[in-house]
Amino acid sequence: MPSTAGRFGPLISARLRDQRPTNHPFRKASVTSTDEPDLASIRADWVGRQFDRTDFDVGVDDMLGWAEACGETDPRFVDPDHPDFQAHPGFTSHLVSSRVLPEGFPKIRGRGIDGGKSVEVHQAVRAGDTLTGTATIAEVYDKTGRSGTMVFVVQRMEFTNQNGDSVATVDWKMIRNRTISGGDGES
Amino acid sequence: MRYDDVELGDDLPTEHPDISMEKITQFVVAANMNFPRFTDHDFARTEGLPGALVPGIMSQGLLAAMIHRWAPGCQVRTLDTVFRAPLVVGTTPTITGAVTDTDDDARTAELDLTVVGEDGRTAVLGTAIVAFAD
Repeated sequence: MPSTAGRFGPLISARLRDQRPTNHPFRKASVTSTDEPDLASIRADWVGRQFDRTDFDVGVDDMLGWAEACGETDPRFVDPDHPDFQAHPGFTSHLVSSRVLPEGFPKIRGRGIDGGKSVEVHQAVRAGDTLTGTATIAEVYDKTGRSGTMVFVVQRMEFTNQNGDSVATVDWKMIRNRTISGGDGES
Repeated sequence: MRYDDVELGDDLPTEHPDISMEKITQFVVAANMNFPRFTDHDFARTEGLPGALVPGIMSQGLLAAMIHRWAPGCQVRTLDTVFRAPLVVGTTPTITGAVTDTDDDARTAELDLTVVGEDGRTAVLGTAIVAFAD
């Protein structure tokens, strides 16, 4: 499985608190970029587009290791002999597509931050399952606050098992944090 | 905890989960994310971090385990987390949950969840929807 830590590392958010001051020297350079399409056209071109399909084998050791590491005590998750033995609810959140974003997806400027993951469980994941994850761009939007604008790109992984049953949906909010461009008194 | 016993505003029993290096190592192996920023304090500091960090998705797991203890046999239907601040390996976090909504037809409850570091900062905010066994 490829590492995505460099691009949208799960813990880059560690630096979210340290917003760049408005006079940061990097800021000016970032606001002069004019080659980025607007979000409406990115949405029109990319939202809903499926861009990756990856298979994952679910092993009992990983299911157990995950649940035990998280301090789980319910035998459904930590006893492989339990009749309802299954993966922990968030288990699919670590199964990442071979590409984070589609080939040719516009480069959105700003610092990469991991905004978090949302898992929707439709059906239990069992030992020995082969899951197929299909990745789409689910949403592209921005939010503006005191410190500037953050652009959100939501990657959605839909997982089905070997029987074709839908088992989970994982949304991954990837954030580009940037300052408001233009006309804000920057000197 | 049965659905009929759940009241809006109920707090889940607060927990202080074990996030020792031993646990994090076990997790990153299972999650196929064995990167030094999670397992090596010195390396993490070279990246400007306060120390090796607990993976965000492991925080989801800590919260799910707390929910399963509160309502044995329940199914966590959704788990939505926002990663706000670093949680350093080997510290003592506090995890909390509270009931914010209930649905009598579906027999589900919605929970607000937090993971707070020992420095008092909220590391993870989350919500969950839980379906009860009975």
